[in-house]
Amino acid sequence: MIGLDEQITTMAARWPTFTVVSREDRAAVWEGTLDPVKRRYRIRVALTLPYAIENVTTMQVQPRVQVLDPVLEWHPEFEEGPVPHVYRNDEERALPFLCLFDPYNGEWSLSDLLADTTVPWTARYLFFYEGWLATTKWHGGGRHLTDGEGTCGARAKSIAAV
Amino acid sequence: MTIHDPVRPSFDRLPTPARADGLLMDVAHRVQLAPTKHAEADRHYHALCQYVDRRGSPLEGKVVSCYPGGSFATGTAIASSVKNDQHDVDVVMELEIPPTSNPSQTLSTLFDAINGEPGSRYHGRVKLNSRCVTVTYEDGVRVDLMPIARLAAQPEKAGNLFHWQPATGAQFHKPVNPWGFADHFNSHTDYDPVFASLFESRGLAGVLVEKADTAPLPDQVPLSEKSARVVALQLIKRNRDVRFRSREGRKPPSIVLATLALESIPTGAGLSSEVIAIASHMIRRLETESSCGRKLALLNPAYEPDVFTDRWPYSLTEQNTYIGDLRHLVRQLSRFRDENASMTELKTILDDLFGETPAGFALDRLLEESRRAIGTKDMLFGRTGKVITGAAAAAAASTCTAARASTNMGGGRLPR
Repeated sequence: MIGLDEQITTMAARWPTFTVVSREDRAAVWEGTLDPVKRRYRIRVALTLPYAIENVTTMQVQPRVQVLDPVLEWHPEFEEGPVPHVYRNDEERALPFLCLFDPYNGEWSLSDLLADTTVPWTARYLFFYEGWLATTKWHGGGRHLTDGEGTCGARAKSIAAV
Repeated sequence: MTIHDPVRPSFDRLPTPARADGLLMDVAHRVQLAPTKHAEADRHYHALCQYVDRRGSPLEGKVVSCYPGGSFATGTAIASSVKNDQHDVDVVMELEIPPTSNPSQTLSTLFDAINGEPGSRYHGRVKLNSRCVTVTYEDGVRVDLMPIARLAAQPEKAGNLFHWQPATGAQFHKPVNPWGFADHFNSHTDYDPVFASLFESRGLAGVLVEKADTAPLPDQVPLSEKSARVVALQLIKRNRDVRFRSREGRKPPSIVLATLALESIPTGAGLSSEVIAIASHMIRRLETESSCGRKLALLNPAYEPDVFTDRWPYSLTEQNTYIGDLRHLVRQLSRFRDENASMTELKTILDDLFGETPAGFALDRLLEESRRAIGTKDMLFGRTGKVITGAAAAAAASTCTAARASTNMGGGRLPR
């Protein structure tokens, strides 16, 4: 598992527009901007490290990524609408969490640097999001959670088991 | 018509076109006739010519030859309606009749020969026009059959066409040589093997598209793909058709645009540069005439008695309107080439210039191509998160980084 200090150092080196806006013992929140095509987006990335990895799943500990400004547009009439590939955020509906990888297939773990994965994946998501706005079709690929993969699905494996 | 090409580079050694050029190639692919449609049109007109020459026809034994004319012969044909894949074929029918034959009689006889009796093959699908007879097929193909009669002591295949306007009674003969022009155009359009391969490779890209199953065989290059100039001309014609959708009056004829395109010096700098160069040349030529209060006058370079501008521009206003259209095309394409243009801007510009169907097709393909680049060196990320794909990725490889692939998920909520 990569420690927070290393995550913070590599984020600062690789993504200079991102700064830490909140830091606790086992959690950090970054905010910064990405310009994947032309429009500039303000992004929030939050990561909380677990005390022990045995009892948590990747689904639970994955970085939380939100697009703060401009907020993602809702288009229920578009393919994959109203917003493609996001997890709902019931507390702030306009700020859903991006679904950037498959937590059930080992595509990300706590041994990965956010700077190498989460941030470029966010830029890529926004690239295809802009394509979605222009064409009404989602070209970025992906899949949806199946019935058994719900929020706390029975088949979710603990990180230690992955 | 194809050119056998032993020197064409293989796909894996081709340069990647700039984003704007790639998108324009995809627009051009979408507005072109699919090779199967082309073959179908070919069959239609051959059958039609045999029908006119059939036993018992008013023109029995009078058909000397039939050959493609206009855009069909120069490889610059485009669909007249992209959405419906509808296209028109110009065919020249040389008849063995005196070149001074009565125009109304000649055109009416050709009409009768095709329309025939009720219940016959083409009955009810035939329309008499001022210079040709049009047959419309159920598959969307429209064949314009223009009769001509050979003129003696003139260049090969030069003849008189027959003009008759029933509403006004006006009728006359006009010397033409469509075959000579097609030959001139084709011999003055240099074949560019790199462009042809690049263009073909986009047609064969592994994207499931409407026309993918009708792409040409790899060892043959259709005439319509042989150089950037030919494809640029097709895009200019498509833009003209889009501009004239809601206008009255005659469009600038394709043969006029083709002649002007030949005068422009090839840039060799990609498709968007070629379109801008040809359109800018057209603007200069038309503006020179307008500034002197004159209308453009163009002659068939293969046969000068054949005046191409006899029906357009009808007035200086028509000429100036088209100058405005071309200026708009150049302005919009210059914006389009900006690598920082947003997807929505690209789509809006393509919609405006070439219509929604080819614009949507091109952008879908760009995005599909980008999806295939995920996780490879063909998709890189700059320090501000700029996503760089295609040709720009190769150029930016030293300053940008790649990221491994991942799967976008979706649905549900995250656990607390």
